[in-house]
Amino acid sequence: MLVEKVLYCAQVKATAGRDIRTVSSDGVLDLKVTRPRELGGTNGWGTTPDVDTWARVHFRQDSNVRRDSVMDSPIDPDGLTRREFIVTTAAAITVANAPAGFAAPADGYGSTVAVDFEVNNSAVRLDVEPRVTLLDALRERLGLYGTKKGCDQGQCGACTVHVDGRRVLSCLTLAVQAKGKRITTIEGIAGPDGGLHPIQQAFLDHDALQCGYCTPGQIMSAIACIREGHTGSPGEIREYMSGNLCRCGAYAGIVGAIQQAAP
Amino acid sequence: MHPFRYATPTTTDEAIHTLAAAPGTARLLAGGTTLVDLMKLDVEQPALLIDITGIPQLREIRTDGDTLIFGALVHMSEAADHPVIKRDYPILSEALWRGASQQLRNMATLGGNLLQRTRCAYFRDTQFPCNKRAPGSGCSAIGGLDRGHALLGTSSQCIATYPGDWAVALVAMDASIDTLSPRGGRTIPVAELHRQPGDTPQIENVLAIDEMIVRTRVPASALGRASTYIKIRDRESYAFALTSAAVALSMDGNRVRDARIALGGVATVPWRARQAEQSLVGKTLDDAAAREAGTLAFTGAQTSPQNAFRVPLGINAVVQALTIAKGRA
Repeated sequence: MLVEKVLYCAQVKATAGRDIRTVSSDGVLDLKVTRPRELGGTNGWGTTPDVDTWARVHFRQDSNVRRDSVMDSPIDPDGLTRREFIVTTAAAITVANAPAGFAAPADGYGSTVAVDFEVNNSAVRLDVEPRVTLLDALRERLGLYGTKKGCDQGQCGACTVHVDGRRVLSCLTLAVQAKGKRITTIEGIAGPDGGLHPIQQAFLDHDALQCGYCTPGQIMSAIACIREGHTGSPGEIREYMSGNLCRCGAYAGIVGAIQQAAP
Repeated sequence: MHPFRYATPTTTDEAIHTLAAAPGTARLLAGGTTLVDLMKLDVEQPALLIDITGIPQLREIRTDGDTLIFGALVHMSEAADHPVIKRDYPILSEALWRGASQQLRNMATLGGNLLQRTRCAYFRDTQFPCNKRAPGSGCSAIGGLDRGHALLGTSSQCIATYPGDWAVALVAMDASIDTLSPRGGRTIPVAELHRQPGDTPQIENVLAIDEMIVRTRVPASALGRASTYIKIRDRESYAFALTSAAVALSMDGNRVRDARIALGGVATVPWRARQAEQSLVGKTLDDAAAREAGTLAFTGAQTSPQNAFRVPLGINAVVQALTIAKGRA
């Protein structure tokens, strides 16, 4: 799984020769990290748009590098966040292990489509390959990590977002299909003053989560469930929330929270 | 996921000509809930995706004289919640809202739903031989983990279950589809759309390579009101059917004037049970008659130790559906 993600990150973020400088032959690289500018800093990437940072990465030249050992390797973080560090390191491993010429796109690879859409009331333009899902675009390109990748197969609901006000699975939606659409993610539901959305408060009141990984999807689904009018009884809530799985089993609290927030 | 080219036609004419220009290597994209999933698994590797969601005339949902019209791009959730469908055709509404989850129903379209691919785990995993995915490679399900596989309409080449619900209800209601290709339009009964596997399990329907579904027609029928769609699953919601029953009745007091019975989740295609229907006509609908119809519906079922339990389960589902439909007559 990691490798697939790694390849993607590397193609986007690092082109050999331009973005990567080999410092020594025993596995030290400098890697350029470009922070996404598309949202102009209204998200977890801070308020610094479009900044190139050189990160020095040390790694073991070992094709079976595990994520854990990468995390343990020495690094000059250069102010990187933990998430940027993981992405950066992963890209470095990929580049180091790839055959020569890796950065040159194969036939058909890499051709992109410009997509204009709106995310949480901000206009966004992305150049994406048609095979990029909306979920990956939100997370990897826009830095909106609130939307979770659970199964990535349309079976768990963790990636639920709203497209033009309707709840959908972003893992099975291609980003190019978001063209001209209005997307709302968990980052976009708080009030203008930053206050919690009523359903967020209800989840707290009802202890409707344990580990919290499914919670953004549950909340996006719950908001739509209420809007659709499918909250007439606990049974109806269960039926219309069945697309959001919770491995911790917080279902009783989730139903209670939705009953509280529903009119 | 393999890379592909991406086209966005704005008319059906443009869509079918784009499709015809890339024979066998292009796929139409609507909701994507099956196609994108299978592309991630490398089961589908189209060179060209033709996104038809920008064709506005495919979104119609209306009545035309005595016929209900559902455009190919109408979402499952939209039809399921339609007040007229809920009131006059519970069989259609229930078949839709008992399928998938609300998120998927907001994405999946009624045209695409008809062509939903099997959930056979061997078909979905490219490491296994599968005659449907790689013709001639063999069937891993026969003699394998076949608890959810088809009991009816199988062949020695393939026992993959047709997983959809909507088409099962449509078959019971004598619905048809209108299609379009560069050679013009035609109308196909939904009952004749899907093909049993036979020796060519890779050919799943009668559509030509450059043909697209534009709408579904359901003839208005008094049977619609006295109808239901029952779906038995491993969990209460959001799962594929172990067995399902689409039933519609026309009653004359306690006597059956006309009956429709179709089975889902147990066959390689949406399965109309005409012999079971005939057994009811003119009879008083009591538990014995319902059970006889259910038993007849499963005539010819080929079972294995893992999936034989779905025959009595399916018979019970038919009995329950007949009882509910009778209560609505």
